[in-house]
Amino acid sequence: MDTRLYPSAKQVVPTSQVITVPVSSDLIKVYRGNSLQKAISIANLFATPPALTKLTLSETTYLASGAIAADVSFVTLNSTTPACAMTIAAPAAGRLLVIRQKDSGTAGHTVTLSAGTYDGSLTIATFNALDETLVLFGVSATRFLVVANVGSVGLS
Amino acid sequence: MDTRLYPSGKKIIPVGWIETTPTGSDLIKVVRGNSTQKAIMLQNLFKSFPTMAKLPFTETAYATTGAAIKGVSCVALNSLTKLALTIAAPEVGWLLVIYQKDAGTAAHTVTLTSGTYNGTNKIATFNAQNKGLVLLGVSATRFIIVANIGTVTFSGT
Repeated sequence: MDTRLYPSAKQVVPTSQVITVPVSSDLIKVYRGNSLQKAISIANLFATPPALTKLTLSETTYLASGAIAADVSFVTLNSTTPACAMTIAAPAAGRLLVIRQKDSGTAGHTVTLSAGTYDGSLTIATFNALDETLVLFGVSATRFLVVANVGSVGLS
Repeated sequence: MDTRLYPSGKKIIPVGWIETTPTGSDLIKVVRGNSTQKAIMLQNLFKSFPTMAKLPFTETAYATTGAAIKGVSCVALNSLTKLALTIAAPEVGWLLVIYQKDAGTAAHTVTLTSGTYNGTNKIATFNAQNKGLVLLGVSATRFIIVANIGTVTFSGT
Protein backbone atom coordinates (compact mmCIF):
# COMPACT_ATOMS: atom_id res chain seq x y z
CA MET A 1 0.00 0.00 0.00
CA ASP A 2 1.42 3.38 -1.01
CA THR A 3 0.29 6.09 1.35
CA ARG A 4 2.11 9.02 -0.21
CA LEU A 5 0.14 12.13 -0.96
CA TYR A 6 -1.16 12.47 -4.49
CA PRO A 7 -0.91 14.09 -6.95
CA SER A 8 2.62 15.11 -5.85
CA ALA A 9 3.48 11.65 -4.50
CA LYS A 10 6.50 13.15 -2.78
CA GLN A 11 5.42 13.26 0.83
CA VAL A 12 3.51 11.10 3.26
CA VAL A 13 3.02 13.93 5.76
CA PRO A 14 2.46 17.49 4.50
CA THR A 15 5.38 19.66 5.58
CA SER A 16 3.04 22.08 7.29
CA GLN A 17 1.99 19.35 9.69
CA VAL A 18 5.52 18.56 10.85
CA ILE A 19 6.14 20.11 14.25
CA THR A 20 9.54 20.63 15.83
CA VAL A 21 8.59 21.01 19.48
CA PRO A 22 6.42 18.38 21.14
CA VAL A 23 4.10 19.00 24.05
CA SER A 24 3.61 16.46 26.79
CA SER A 25 -0.02 15.84 25.93
CA ASP A 26 0.64 14.99 22.28
CA LEU A 27 -0.56 11.48 21.54
CA ILE A 28 1.49 8.95 19.63
CA LYS A 29 -0.18 6.01 17.95
CA VAL A 30 1.20 2.64 18.92
CA TYR A 31 0.28 -0.83 17.76
CA ARG A 32 0.31 -3.46 20.47
CA GLY A 33 1.19 -6.90 19.26
CA ASN A 34 0.66 -5.54 15.75
CA SER A 35 -2.99 -6.28 16.21
CA LEU A 36 -4.40 -3.54 18.39
CA GLN A 37 -4.29 0.23 17.91
CA LYS A 38 -3.53 2.31 20.96
CA ALA A 39 -2.17 5.76 21.74
CA ILE A 40 0.08 7.08 24.47
CA SER A 41 0.89 10.61 25.49
CA ILE A 42 4.49 11.71 25.14
CA ALA A 43 4.52 12.44 28.87
CA ASN A 44 3.63 8.84 29.66
CA LEU A 45 5.97 7.39 27.06
CA PHE A 46 8.88 9.13 28.73
CA ALA A 47 7.61 8.51 32.24
CA THR A 48 8.07 4.79 31.79
CA PRO A 49 10.36 4.26 28.82
CA PRO A 50 11.82 0.90 27.92
CA ALA A 51 15.39 0.33 29.04
CA LEU A 52 17.98 2.00 26.85
CA THR A 53 20.73 -0.08 25.36
CA LYS A 54 22.87 2.91 24.56
CA LEU A 55 22.65 6.56 25.57
CA THR A 56 24.42 9.21 23.53
CA LEU A 57 24.18 12.93 24.25
CA SER A 58 24.27 15.47 21.44
CA GLU A 59 27.14 17.92 21.66
CA THR A 60 26.32 21.64 21.56
CA THR A 61 29.38 23.76 20.81
CA TYR A 62 29.81 27.42 21.72
CA LEU A 63 32.46 29.42 19.88
CA ALA A 64 31.89 32.83 21.47
CA SER A 65 30.54 34.46 24.59
CA GLY A 66 26.82 34.20 25.23
CA ALA A 67 24.15 32.22 27.02
CA ILE A 68 24.08 28.44 27.22
CA ALA A 69 20.68 27.14 26.15
CA ALA A 70 18.42 25.66 28.77
CA ASP A 71 17.64 22.56 26.71
CA VAL A 72 21.10 21.08 26.23
CA SER A 73 23.02 18.54 28.29
CA PHE A 74 26.44 18.32 26.69
CA VAL A 75 28.18 21.66 26.15
CA THR A 76 31.61 22.23 24.67
CA LEU A 77 33.47 25.54 24.71
CA ASN A 78 35.67 25.91 21.67
CA SER A 79 37.62 29.14 21.27
CA THR A 80 41.38 29.21 21.58
CA THR A 81 41.16 32.95 21.96
CA PRO A 82 39.43 35.05 23.11
CA ALA A 83 37.98 33.44 26.20
CA CYS A 84 34.27 32.66 26.18
CA ALA A 85 32.27 34.39 28.91
CA MET A 86 29.15 32.26 29.14
CA THR A 87 26.09 32.50 31.30
CA ILE A 88 23.85 29.66 32.27
CA ALA A 89 20.32 29.55 33.63
CA ALA A 90 19.64 28.51 37.18
CA PRO A 91 19.87 24.81 37.98
CA ALA A 92 16.79 22.67 37.41
CA ALA A 93 16.06 19.57 39.44
CA GLY A 94 17.10 16.50 37.48
CA ARG A 95 19.10 18.27 34.79
CA LEU A 96 22.24 16.43 33.75
CA LEU A 97 24.76 18.88 32.34
CA VAL A 98 28.30 18.31 31.08
CA ILE A 99 30.53 21.29 30.22
CA ARG A 100 33.90 20.67 28.57
CA GLN A 101 36.68 22.80 27.10
CA LYS A 102 37.30 21.52 23.58
CA ASP A 103 40.02 23.91 22.47
CA SER A 104 43.65 23.84 23.56
CA GLY A 105 43.78 27.44 24.72
CA THR A 106 44.51 28.80 28.15
CA ALA A 107 42.37 31.91 27.90
CA GLY A 108 40.15 30.91 30.81
CA HIS A 109 36.54 30.43 29.69
CA THR A 110 34.01 31.30 32.35
CA VAL A 111 30.52 29.90 32.86
CA THR A 112 28.48 31.97 35.30
CA LEU A 113 25.24 30.82 36.87
CA SER A 114 22.51 33.44 36.67
CA ALA A 115 21.07 32.07 39.90
CA GLY A 116 21.97 29.31 42.32
CA THR A 117 25.37 27.72 42.82
CA TYR A 118 27.54 24.89 41.60
CA ASP A 119 28.49 23.65 45.02
CA GLY A 120 26.51 25.52 47.64
CA SER A 121 28.48 28.74 47.47
CA LEU A 122 30.22 29.40 44.13
CA THR A 123 28.72 30.65 40.87
CA ILE A 124 31.58 30.90 38.36
CA ALA A 125 33.36 27.97 36.72
CA THR A 126 36.63 28.63 34.88
CA PHE A 127 38.05 26.30 32.24
CA ASN A 128 41.62 26.92 31.09
CA ALA A 129 42.88 23.70 29.49
CA LEU A 130 41.83 21.11 26.95
CA ASP A 131 39.39 18.52 28.31
CA GLU A 132 38.75 20.27 31.61
CA THR A 133 35.20 19.16 32.26
CA LEU A 134 32.42 19.53 34.79
CA VAL A 135 29.69 16.91 35.14
CA LEU A 136 26.75 18.47 36.98
CA PHE A 137 23.41 17.24 38.23
CA GLY A 138 20.70 19.69 39.24
CA VAL A 139 19.08 18.89 42.56
CA SER A 140 16.98 22.04 42.97
CA ALA A 141 16.33 25.42 41.38
CA THR A 142 19.31 26.81 43.24
CA ARG A 143 21.82 24.00 43.39
CA PHE A 144 23.87 21.72 41.18
CA LEU A 145 25.90 18.81 42.49
CA VAL A 146 29.38 18.49 41.03
CA VAL A 147 29.41 14.82 40.00
CA ALA A 148 32.89 15.07 38.53
CA ASN A 149 35.47 17.80 38.09
CA VAL A 150 37.95 16.59 35.52
CA GLY A 151 41.23 18.48 35.27
CA SER A 152 40.58 20.95 38.08
CA VAL A 153 37.98 23.33 36.71
CA GLY A 154 38.23 26.39 38.94
CA LEU A 155 35.19 27.44 40.96
CA SER A 156 34.90 30.94 42.38
CA MET B 1 -12.83 1.40 12.42
CA ASP B 2 -10.89 -1.83 12.03
CA THR B 3 -7.66 -1.22 10.13
CA ARG B 4 -6.22 -4.70 10.29
CA LEU B 5 -4.85 -6.13 7.08
CA TYR B 6 -7.25 -8.27 5.11
CA PRO B 7 -7.82 -10.99 4.17
CA SER B 8 -5.93 -12.39 7.16
CA GLY B 9 -7.14 -9.73 9.56
CA LYS B 10 -4.36 -10.56 11.98
CA LYS B 11 -2.00 -7.62 11.60
CA ILE B 12 -2.24 -3.87 11.34
CA ILE B 13 1.22 -3.25 9.91
CA PRO B 14 2.93 -5.60 7.46
CA VAL B 15 5.89 -7.19 9.20
CA GLY B 16 8.20 -5.93 6.45
CA TRP B 17 7.46 -2.36 7.46
CA ILE B 18 8.57 -2.73 11.07
CA GLU B 19 12.00 -1.20 11.57
CA THR B 20 14.50 -2.19 14.21
CA THR B 21 16.87 0.76 13.79
CA PRO B 22 15.44 4.29 13.77
CA THR B 23 17.00 7.29 12.08
CA GLY B 24 16.82 10.81 13.44
CA SER B 25 14.74 12.02 10.54
CA ASP B 26 12.07 9.34 10.89
CA LEU B 27 8.69 10.97 11.42
CA ILE B 28 6.28 9.89 14.12
CA LYS B 29 2.66 10.81 13.75
CA VAL B 30 1.24 12.58 16.77
CA VAL B 31 -2.21 13.86 17.58
CA ARG B 32 -2.34 17.23 19.32
CA GLY B 33 -5.18 17.90 21.71
CA ASN B 34 -6.81 14.76 20.36
CA SER B 35 -8.03 16.88 17.47
CA THR B 36 -5.18 17.67 15.07
CA GLN B 37 -2.85 15.29 13.27
CA LYS B 38 0.82 16.27 13.25
CA ALA B 39 4.18 14.58 12.87
CA ILE B 40 7.56 15.08 14.49
CA MET B 41 11.05 13.86 13.68
CA LEU B 42 12.59 11.50 16.19
CA GLN B 43 15.56 13.84 16.58
CA ASN B 44 13.22 16.68 17.56
CA LEU B 45 11.22 14.48 19.90
CA PHE B 46 14.38 13.54 21.76
CA LYS B 47 15.76 17.07 21.63
CA SER B 48 13.03 18.49 23.82
CA PHE B 49 11.17 15.65 25.45
CA PRO B 50 9.29 15.90 28.74
CA THR B 51 10.99 15.16 32.02
CA MET B 52 11.74 11.50 32.50
CA ALA B 53 10.62 9.87 35.70
CA LYS B 54 13.16 7.11 35.24
CA LEU B 55 16.20 6.54 33.07
CA PRO B 56 16.67 2.78 32.84
CA PHE B 57 19.52 1.00 31.09
CA THR B 58 19.74 -2.48 29.72
CA GLU B 59 22.65 -4.36 31.25
CA THR B 60 24.81 -6.23 28.77
CA ALA B 61 26.82 -8.97 30.44
CA TYR B 62 30.08 -10.25 29.00
CA ALA B 63 31.21 -13.68 30.14
CA THR B 64 33.56 -14.71 27.35
CA THR B 65 37.04 -13.40 26.77
CA GLY B 66 37.82 -11.74 23.47
CA ALA B 67 34.48 -10.02 23.04
CA ALA B 68 34.25 -6.47 21.72
CA ILE B 69 32.14 -3.95 23.60
CA LYS B 70 30.14 -1.71 21.29
CA GLY B 71 26.72 -0.11 21.08
CA VAL B 72 25.82 -0.41 24.75
CA SER B 73 25.83 1.82 27.84
CA CYS B 74 25.83 -0.59 30.77
CA VAL B 75 28.41 -3.36 30.71
CA ALA B 76 28.76 -6.10 33.32
CA LEU B 77 31.92 -8.19 33.37
CA ASN B 78 30.86 -11.55 34.70
CA SER B 79 33.34 -14.39 34.79
CA LEU B 80 35.39 -15.93 37.55
CA THR B 81 38.09 -16.56 34.99
CA LYS B 82 39.91 -13.62 33.48
CA LEU B 83 38.22 -11.67 30.68
CA ALA B 84 40.26 -9.75 28.14
CA LEU B 85 37.83 -7.54 26.26
CA THR B 86 38.23 -4.78 23.74
CA ILE B 87 36.14 -1.70 23.32
CA ALA B 88 35.57 0.49 20.31
CA ALA B 89 36.98 4.01 20.18
CA PRO B 90 35.17 6.69 22.20
CA GLU B 91 32.26 8.55 20.58
CA VAL B 92 31.19 12.10 21.41
CA GLY B 93 28.42 11.99 24.01
CA TRP B 94 28.56 8.23 24.65
CA LEU B 95 27.74 7.43 28.28
CA LEU B 96 29.26 4.11 29.28
CA VAL B 97 29.28 2.27 32.59
CA ILE B 98 31.53 -0.78 33.01
CA TYR B 99 31.51 -2.77 36.24
CA GLN B 100 32.66 -6.12 37.54
CA LYS B 101 29.69 -8.27 38.45
CA ASP B 102 31.47 -11.44 39.53
CA ALA B 103 33.33 -11.87 42.81
CA GLY B 104 36.59 -13.05 41.28
CA THR B 105 40.03 -11.53 41.41
CA ALA B 106 41.24 -12.64 38.00
CA ALA B 107 41.74 -9.04 36.86
CA HIS B 108 39.58 -8.47 33.81
CA THR B 109 40.99 -6.06 31.25
CA VAL B 110 39.10 -3.77 28.91
CA THR B 111 41.34 -2.36 26.20
CA LEU B 112 40.45 0.55 23.94
CA THR B 113 41.16 -0.18 20.29
CA SER B 114 41.98 3.50 19.85
CA GLY B 115 41.88 6.60 22.01
CA THR B 116 42.32 6.74 25.77
CA TYR B 117 40.37 6.69 28.99
CA ASN B 118 42.22 9.58 30.57
CA GLY B 119 44.44 11.19 27.97
CA THR B 120 47.18 8.59 28.39
CA ASN B 121 46.06 5.02 29.11
CA LYS B 122 44.01 2.54 27.12
CA ILE B 123 43.75 -0.48 29.42
CA ALA B 124 41.40 -0.61 32.42
CA THR B 125 41.75 -3.46 34.93
CA PHE B 126 38.96 -4.67 37.22
CA ASN B 127 39.90 -7.14 39.95
CA ALA B 128 37.10 -7.04 42.50
CA GLN B 129 33.33 -7.17 42.57
CA ASN B 130 31.56 -3.86 41.98
CA LYS B 131 34.60 -1.99 40.80
CA GLY B 132 33.18 0.32 38.18
CA LEU B 133 33.90 3.07 35.71
CA VAL B 134 31.46 5.73 34.54
CA LEU B 135 32.76 7.17 31.28
CA LEU B 136 31.63 9.89 28.90
CA GLY B 137 33.02 10.16 25.40
CA VAL B 138 34.11 13.70 24.58
CA SER B 139 35.78 13.03 21.24
CA ALA B 140 36.65 10.16 18.94
CA THR B 141 39.86 9.63 20.88
CA ARG B 142 39.01 10.49 24.46
CA PHE B 143 36.75 9.47 27.31
CA ILE B 144 36.55 11.41 30.52
CA ILE B 145 36.24 9.47 33.75
CA VAL B 146 33.08 10.63 35.48
CA ALA B 147 33.59 8.19 38.33
CA ASN B 148 36.07 5.49 39.26
CA ILE B 149 34.52 3.27 41.92
CA GLY B 150 36.77 0.94 43.88
CA THR B 151 39.94 2.08 42.14
CA VAL B 152 39.88 0.55 38.71
CA THR B 153 43.48 0.80 37.52
CA PHE B 154 44.77 2.12 34.20
CA SER B 155 47.80 1.14 32.20
CA GLY B 156 49.08 0.86 28.65
CA THR B 157 49.68 3.66 26.21
